[in-house]
Amino acid sequence: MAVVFKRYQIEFRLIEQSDIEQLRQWRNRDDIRLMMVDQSEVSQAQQQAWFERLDSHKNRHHFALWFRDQLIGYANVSLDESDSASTGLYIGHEKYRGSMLAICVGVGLSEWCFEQQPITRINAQVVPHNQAALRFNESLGYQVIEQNDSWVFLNKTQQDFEQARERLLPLLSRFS
Amino acid sequence: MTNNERLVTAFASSLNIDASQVVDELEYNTIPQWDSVAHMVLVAALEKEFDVMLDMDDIIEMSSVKIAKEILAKHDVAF
Repeated sequence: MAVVFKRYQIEFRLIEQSDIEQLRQWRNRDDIRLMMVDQSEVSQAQQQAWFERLDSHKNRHHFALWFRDQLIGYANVSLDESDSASTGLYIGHEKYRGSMLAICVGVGLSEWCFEQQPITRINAQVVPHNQAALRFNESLGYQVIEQNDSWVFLNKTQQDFEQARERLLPLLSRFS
Repeated sequence: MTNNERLVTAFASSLNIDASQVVDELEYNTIPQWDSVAHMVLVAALEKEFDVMLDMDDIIEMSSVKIAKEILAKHDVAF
């Protein structure tokens, strides 16, 4: 297990072969899959092929999320543009779905992006009916910049993020 | 106001739901209003109302109204 970084008790680890079937099962759940850009179900063969290509994804970072030695979810960072990143995450472990750990992951991931990558903003996109994700992203400092029937596009600068994090710190500090 | 009434009021205002919905059986994530963001608001409201500070385990474990009462009871709040 290779821990890339740790924030708020969440370990962001490199994904290992032993993680991928659990991640696939979570990824295929309707309540997770239908919130994604690619909403198709993933087969075991597709998941294995994806895993074997991870090292070739030079502009993408993929993380297995661990809390108290349990795999709880997945996060990624894409650096497809020179000055911005886009991020995605899900918490699959039933006990922690929608818990404050999602906030911990979101804040930790944004911190890592702004600290480690030469970017000025982070982008996100959410399906319009996913009000929970919209509220979640807005709590992390994202602002809506564009919306159509299919997607809501959001972004945040480091300043937006730091202002949001300031509001979250009284509770986040319990996870330090 | 009793502690139970104070708790119901904190839940109702934090989750933006009717007080009649705040029953012991109400569980986290079973209604759209009780999501991760609302959970943070709720924790802050309960801490302020009952002058307690919840730790990480309390915050994670507080997955129903009934369990919230049990956690607050550990902090000497009687129901």
